[in-house]
Amino acid sequence: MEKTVTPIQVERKTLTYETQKRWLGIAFSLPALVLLFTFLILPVMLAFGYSFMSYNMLNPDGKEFTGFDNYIRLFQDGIFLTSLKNTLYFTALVVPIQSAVALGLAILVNKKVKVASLGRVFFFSPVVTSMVVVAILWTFLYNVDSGLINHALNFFGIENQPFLLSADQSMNSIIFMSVWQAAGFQMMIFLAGLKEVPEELYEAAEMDGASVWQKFRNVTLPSISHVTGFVLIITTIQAFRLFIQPYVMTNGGPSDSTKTLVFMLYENGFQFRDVGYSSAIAVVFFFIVLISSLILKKILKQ
Amino acid sequence: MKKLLVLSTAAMLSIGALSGCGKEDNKSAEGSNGETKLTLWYPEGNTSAAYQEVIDAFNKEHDGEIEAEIEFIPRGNKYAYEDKISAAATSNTLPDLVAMDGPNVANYADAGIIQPIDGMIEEQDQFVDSVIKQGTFEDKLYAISPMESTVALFYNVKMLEEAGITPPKTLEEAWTWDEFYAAAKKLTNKEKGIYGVNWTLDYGEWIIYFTGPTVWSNGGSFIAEDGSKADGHVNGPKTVEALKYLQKFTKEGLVNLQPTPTEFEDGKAAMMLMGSWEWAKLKDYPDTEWGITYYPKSPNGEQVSPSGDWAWGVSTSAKDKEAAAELLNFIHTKENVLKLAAVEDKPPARTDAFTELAEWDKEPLNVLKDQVLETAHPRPLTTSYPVLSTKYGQAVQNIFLGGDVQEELDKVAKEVDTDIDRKN
Repeated sequence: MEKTVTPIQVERKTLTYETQKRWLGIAFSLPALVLLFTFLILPVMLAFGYSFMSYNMLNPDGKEFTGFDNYIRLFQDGIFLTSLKNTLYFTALVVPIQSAVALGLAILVNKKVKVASLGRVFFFSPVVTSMVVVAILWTFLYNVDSGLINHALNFFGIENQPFLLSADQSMNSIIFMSVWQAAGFQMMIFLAGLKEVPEELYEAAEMDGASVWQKFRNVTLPSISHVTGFVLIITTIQAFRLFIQPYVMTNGGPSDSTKTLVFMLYENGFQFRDVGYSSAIAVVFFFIVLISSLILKKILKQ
Repeated sequence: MKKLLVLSTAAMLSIGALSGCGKEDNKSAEGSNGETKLTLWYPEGNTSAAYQEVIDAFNKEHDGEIEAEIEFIPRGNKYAYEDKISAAATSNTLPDLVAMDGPNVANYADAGIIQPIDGMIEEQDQFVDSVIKQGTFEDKLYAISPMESTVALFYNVKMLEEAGITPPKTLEEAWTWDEFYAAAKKLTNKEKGIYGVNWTLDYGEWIIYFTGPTVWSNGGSFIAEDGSKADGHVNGPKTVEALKYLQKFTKEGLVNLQPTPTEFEDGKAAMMLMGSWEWAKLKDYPDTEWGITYYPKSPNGEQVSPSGDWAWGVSTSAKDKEAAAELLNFIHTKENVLKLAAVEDKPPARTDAFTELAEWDKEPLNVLKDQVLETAHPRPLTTSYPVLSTKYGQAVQNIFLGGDVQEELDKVAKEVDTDIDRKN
């Protein structure tokens, strides 16, 4: 009689090279993933949950589920609509102005002269200065009676301007100083892009008799388009987060003219300790930024 | 397999190390040699050194039994200190004894982060009324402070003499609104760039604190007595009238809306509505001769002045209530109150301490003493105080910039009432 032997599958004791590599990759990225989860993904998820609750910061045990109450209140809140409008206004102006200024500066300091490197330091120095410090300094500059800017305007025969004290001028004043403070950063990115443009392209254009404008329009811009896209997206996201300037310079006033979404979020969350409501603002803010970035990306692709 | 084990262990260790970072023992605990540990928080400032001395003395007296440790928290000019307390309350890391600005007592007591200290305070009858009132919520005492504060009218002696104005010397003669306004108008000199009055416009607690007496003096209020409603109070006719009066000063340019921090000291403002703590700083400007007179009163009301200073409460996370009471009483003995008050020349909150301070019976400090003992008014006690203080401050700024008084205050009433409804 023949014995039938069922073949026994022998489990492999050693892992294949591929599997080992995969595990190694996971192990190496684990610390980063854990950090990312704890400090980014988890808070976002919590905020999403809290936005459906009534939650007093001082009394975490007393929180209760209230459904869409916070969102209903939010869309009926006049201050929310004002803050949204202000934030969009700031972004719509700052993004093109700041990017254009940054590109201009980058072209300026890209020249191969000694002064150019000095210029880079000059234009970049506001970026390394803390925004709080810059904001305080500019509050002095914008002072109606004793501010430097009004003195300069007087010199040209222009009357004293109220700047931060006027609901019409406060946001524009903040836009101006924000561009001054941050343009240096985008300038550096543009500069890196400009350095990549091959010299031969310019030489060829010159051979064809291209003017300075034509060279800029047909050589420089297309060659740095990927950098431009990147700059526009980060500037947009930064602009949406406007907070320090109004917090330090105007406290959101006068008449809520400089109140932004993040300012409102801070005020409700920390000062009024209404975690639920401010989480709802955060969630809405998250979607606004997300949608804007997606739209911008789509436009840039074309 | 061995390698995998090593790697996963390494990974787990790194997580373990991470979670280890966050551990901090901030609660009262038994020390290594059996002594009770107490922690305290106080906003960083001029009194820091004196407080440290008081705590050191306490530790010496209670060597081996209780050890207290005080931490000074930077305050900034807004609500940074309050933000820190909120964060600590959320994570259960509050100190045993926590200092808070008077009007926050109701909010903290209601949220249950501080506990009643009824019957814990020795010689409670020695404390001025305004301190007890400010520290009381729903008929229970929650906080007490060693010092008081007030706002008075500082004036430049020379400028007033030149203009032929004699400031009032007694409480009964205190200026009425009209007299104060007339003086400010007369003292304003636009050509020389001199303003009649200086008042600070910061974005924090100051606005409700310094304009409060104008409102109360006129019979106005910020919120219903029981804290249930702001509508009809913060936007009531008497309050509106009071702010319309203050608006006259800014509209007519008697006040600089963006003053330098030393406008009065530099002789660019003839008078200054300022806190009682300011006079100690004026000593650094010997060229400017100054005096103090009373906070102006409404023609149809009584004399009122603001009050409130940093008060001590016992947090609900304090385990050893007896030790906390011991420390609380130690801070508030007559000797220590005098010591702390002397640092910033603040008025002490104990009446028996005043008797030791002869200087406060003479001009100009007698004005401050009179106000603390006779006319002090606590700020409103409401759980919605943060909203009230913030929104009212923003509204007053808009009013000073020319906004419509009724409209601005209506907005405040609406916001505060929304917050009250939310909490109930």
